Amino acid sequence: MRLIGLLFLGSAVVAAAGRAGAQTRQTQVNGFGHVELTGNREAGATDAYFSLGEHSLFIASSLSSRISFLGEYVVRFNGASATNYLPSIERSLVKFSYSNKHAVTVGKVHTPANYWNDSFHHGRLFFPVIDRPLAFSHLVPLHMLGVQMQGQNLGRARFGYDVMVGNGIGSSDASAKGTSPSSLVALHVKPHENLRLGASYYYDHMSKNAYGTHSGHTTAPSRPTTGFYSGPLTFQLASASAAWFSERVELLNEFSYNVSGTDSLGGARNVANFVYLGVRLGEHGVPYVFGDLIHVADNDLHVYPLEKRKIGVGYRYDFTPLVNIKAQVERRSERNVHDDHMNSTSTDRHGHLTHAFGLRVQLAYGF
Amino acid sequence: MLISRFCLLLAAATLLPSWRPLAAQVAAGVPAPFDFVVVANGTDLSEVSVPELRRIFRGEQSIWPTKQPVTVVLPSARADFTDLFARQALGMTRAAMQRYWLAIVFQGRANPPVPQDSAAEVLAYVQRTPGAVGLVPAATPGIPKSLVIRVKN
Repeated sequence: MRLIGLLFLGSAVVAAAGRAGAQTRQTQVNGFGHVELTGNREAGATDAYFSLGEHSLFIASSLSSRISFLGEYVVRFNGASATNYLPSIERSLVKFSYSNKHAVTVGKVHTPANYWNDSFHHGRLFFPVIDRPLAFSHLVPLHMLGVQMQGQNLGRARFGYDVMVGNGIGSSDASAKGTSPSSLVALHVKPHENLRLGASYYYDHMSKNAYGTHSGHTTAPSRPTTGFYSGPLTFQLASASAAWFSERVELLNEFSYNVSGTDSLGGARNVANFVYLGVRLGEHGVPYVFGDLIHVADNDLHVYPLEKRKIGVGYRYDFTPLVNIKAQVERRSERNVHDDHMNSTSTDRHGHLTHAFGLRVQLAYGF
Repeated sequence: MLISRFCLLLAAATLLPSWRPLAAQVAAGVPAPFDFVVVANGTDLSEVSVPELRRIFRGEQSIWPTKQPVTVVLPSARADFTDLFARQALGMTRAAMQRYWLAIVFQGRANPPVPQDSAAEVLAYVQRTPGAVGLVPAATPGIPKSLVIRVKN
């Protein structure tokens, strides 16, 4: 334990004592990863297996008194790869702090649309539960590549803002169709040290509807494999977050409301909500409960119709700030409208509601 | 249905005992005794309040009024005053402080802090680094007066 603690505040921070004038450059290198054991019972079949999760290399460096760099490089499972794993650049940004509480950032960032994406994203070590909320596989634009204006800890309420313009959900890190960038405005307040309340609005108009690299991390996206709508589409997402993380109580609610509009079918109104409650018992243990749901309307042509719910109960044990284990029992429900939609033009939402039970254990670590 | 009822029951059972400590924690604010001396270099500050100090050591200040960048110096796990530092400067346990700093650096909200293994090393680092700020136990010998920032009550 003590050794890992030393690693955290000792060798993990590489005091790259390159002194440029009066400034000392600080570079911190961390890695994060996880291994899981999963047991699933679904449609009469039971599976049990180990899996190796995302592994992330994280670098933060102060380049000068006002300029810093942050990079995050992830290797994750991808069935399209010969080795089943593919690397990706998840964040690569240069930040210029032009005043004490205001900064401008250029590069690829985690879209600060809600608390989860801004705070946890790839580090399973930080996740309060085993998985991301369901909205992250379908609705939330995970990344943006562009320019971001940021302010934080302003005034007594510690108000913060993020305003960003950049490549949107239909784009890649190399190019985008059309000249209309995506844009985001996110505001938050922290009236208490442990409390953060936030709201955001994201807008993206795609001249050609596409599912780009910034859309999600799921390996089983909900779009149809053939006949995917490729006309113009306007994507709007409003999010609201409430987070209380104290030494005793952890509470998080993430709400997303999405309108995905096309000329032919109008606006599809979609909603998702994730709620989590954990209570720390002593220094190390956190029993928790959570609920998660997503509903995508029948006339949606970007995510396509979808209905999923998940509830679960679990226990997290922090061995140290750099190693924890979570055990979680969950019940997942999914209405089978999706296959109907993919295989025909039907938008029948009366498909079977299927249930699955899972027992999962995740070991998450940082180094 | 059974699982959802169980979840509700667990939520109620865990929330109730937590309510009183939570309320007490909110009401208590900053701990009264302060056993540290604030040392900083090139800040032009002569005094600082405990809430301001907490904001500094939570990484919420990035630049001093002198335009120097803030470099937060934290005691490493090897230092013998880390627990007291975490409790008095941040109102957290040592583990919570480590989780907090790991998280805000990972989020890109603050520059990495500089860990030092002893009060003497904190003093030496602050002395040679403009913009650096740290805390050393009040009993630490040889604290240069030029580095000391008084803590307002």
